[in-house]
Amino acid sequence: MAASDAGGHWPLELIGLRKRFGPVQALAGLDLRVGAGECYALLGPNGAGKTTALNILLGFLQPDAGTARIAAVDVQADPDRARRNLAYIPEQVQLYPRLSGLENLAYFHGLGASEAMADASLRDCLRQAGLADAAYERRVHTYSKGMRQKVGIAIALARRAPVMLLDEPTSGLDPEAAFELNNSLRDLAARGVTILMATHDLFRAREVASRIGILVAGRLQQEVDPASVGGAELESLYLAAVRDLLGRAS
Amino acid sequence: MNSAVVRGEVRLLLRDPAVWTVLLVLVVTLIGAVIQGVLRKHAEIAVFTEMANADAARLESATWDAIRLEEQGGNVSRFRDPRNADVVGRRLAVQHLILPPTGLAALAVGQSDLHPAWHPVSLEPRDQLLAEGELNAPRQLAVGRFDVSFVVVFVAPLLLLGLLAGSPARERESGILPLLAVQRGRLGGWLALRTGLRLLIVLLPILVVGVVVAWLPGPGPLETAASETWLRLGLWGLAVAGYLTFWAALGVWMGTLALDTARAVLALAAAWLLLVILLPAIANVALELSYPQPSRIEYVDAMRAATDLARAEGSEVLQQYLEDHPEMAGDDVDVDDFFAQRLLVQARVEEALRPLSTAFEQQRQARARQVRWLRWASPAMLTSEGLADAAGTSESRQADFLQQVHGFHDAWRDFFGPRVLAGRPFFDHDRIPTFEYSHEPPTRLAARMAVVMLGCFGLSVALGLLALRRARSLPKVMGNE
Repeated sequence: MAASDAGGHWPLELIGLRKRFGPVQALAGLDLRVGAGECYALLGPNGAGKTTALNILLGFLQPDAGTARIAAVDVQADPDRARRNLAYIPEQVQLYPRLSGLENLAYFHGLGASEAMADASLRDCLRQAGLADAAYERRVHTYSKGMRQKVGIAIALARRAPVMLLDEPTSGLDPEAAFELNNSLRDLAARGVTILMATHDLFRAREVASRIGILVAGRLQQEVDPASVGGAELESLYLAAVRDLLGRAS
Repeated sequence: MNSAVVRGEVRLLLRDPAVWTVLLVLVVTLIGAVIQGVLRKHAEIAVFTEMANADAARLESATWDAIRLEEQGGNVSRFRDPRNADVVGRRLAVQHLILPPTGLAALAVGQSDLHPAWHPVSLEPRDQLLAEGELNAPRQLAVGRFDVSFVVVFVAPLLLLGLLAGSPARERESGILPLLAVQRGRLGGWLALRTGLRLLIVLLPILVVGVVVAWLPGPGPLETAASETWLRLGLWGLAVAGYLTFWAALGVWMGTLALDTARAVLALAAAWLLLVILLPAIANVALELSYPQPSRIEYVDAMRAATDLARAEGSEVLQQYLEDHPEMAGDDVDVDDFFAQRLLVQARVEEALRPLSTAFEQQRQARARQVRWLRWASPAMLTSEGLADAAGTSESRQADFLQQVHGFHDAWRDFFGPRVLAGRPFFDHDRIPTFEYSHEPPTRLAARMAVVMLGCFGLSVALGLLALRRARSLPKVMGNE
């Protein structure tokens, strides 16, 4: 179950987060805390506010109200320091197509590190991310989406950040790649990494997450322990939450 | 950020076909410009050498002829007599004063296609001599102005902007920027590295060309000293670096403002058109409207009228002129002597024209002042002038040379005038004044160039700071899209 550190700090914490885009209330007081070694899946339909929440955690967006903290650092007050504790895998991992997977990893890791990582360590990160050895030195323009996603994971692994954010990580991945991704995430969580994953893939979320939050209209409607519900039950809960809120709205 | 990023950037550049295209275009245009510049300079020096040799041979021949005629006697027309001071000062001892090309003259045509690099000095009126000297200008204009300065001012910014390709708008469009922003936090250093490497790709070949041109052995002793060449090369290189840094900073700043590559590239193309083509054209129009070029026809008409008047007034007026200017001759002047009369008419005409020529000179100086202000309208104008200055083909070096020509012309007349008016045989061939070009002090050139560099580097710093500030907020901009 979720836990804070000895000082009462949570690796990832959202308190009363509100964000409005013109007439649309994207976040309406989101409260969320994710503990060390926990993998939290934020489920929700399109426009529920998942990506907005991630963008605020990344420091890309300023909330209208509320606080976002990464490793006890207020993201709005010190976004650079907050980002140092963060690894991020976007929905579409875009890399430099003329560099190989290994070269992209060295480049992106190099951006945030004062010293270059040894070649063996870089290869180790790619291996952990599940990329086949033969692909390491192939240029990325020959990669599938799943392979790029794995390089994205390797970049996140190489960063050795205590918190990892993923935006729709299984979107567009074939079942095998999605399975491998889930294995990687489980490994990371086992090593104490805090993971927040925005998704609408109920099946994958149930497989990998230790907690699932159902976000609708910018508010956390329900939290579910995936170990205690079956796939069908989770789907019913999700649809009920969505229909209930959308029904009320209409 | 560590060395892995630098290695990655170098790999990206080496694998980008655009880089090789840019290098190919740059190298080909530079080679073409250098070949043309070197050929032009060599041809110019060949003409100078021929002139200097012809001047020396003519004077030597006149000297020997004068000695021979004096010793052996013989009939010779007074209009060809090498013992006649007027004939010697007007024809036989004519000197072509030469503005020596600098070691970098091949890099910039500058003003040398408008102002000749030599002026013949004799007893002829100053304006007539200058008019003769300009005869070469139309031929040079027909050759055109394709030189290394053209490549630097017009072509290099386009190639640099092509290499930058609207970065970081390109990264934003391709979706790489969020990952970069998370890895790096502040994108200023990353942007500076990328921009700096692309700047070097364009800058280095140009600097190499400058060094090669400075290194090339000059075709003769008429060139300026090597030490001056290296000083000029240093200033030239800094001016090129300043100008291209300005374009790099402008490119990145606009790249941080634009939402996508297309808009960034369009804005940069518009900026190039405005700063390199339109503003200089507008400045030219403004200059012509505020300080129109003095009418040469008007000047020639006035000269003819003054000449006719002086001739009609005859020896009486000339006698009066001599009384007003006793320095022109002693008491033994025969004003009815053809040569004396011609010299005095000429002096009289020049005196009558002085108000007009002063007005012309004032207008020219006012134009020059206006140009000095107008060039601040565009870094392209500032740099174009600076590159010509470093290469020794600028307006200011030409003006300084013309000043020396006028001074020498005065000395020439001071030497020959009294001898012509005295009408005595002339044997002072070895005492005829000789011209030696006085080089501009390096500090004066450096001070002028410092203004150019201050302008370009100052703008670069300002734009660079704007780009860095904008880069800091780029992640936020992305979040709002």
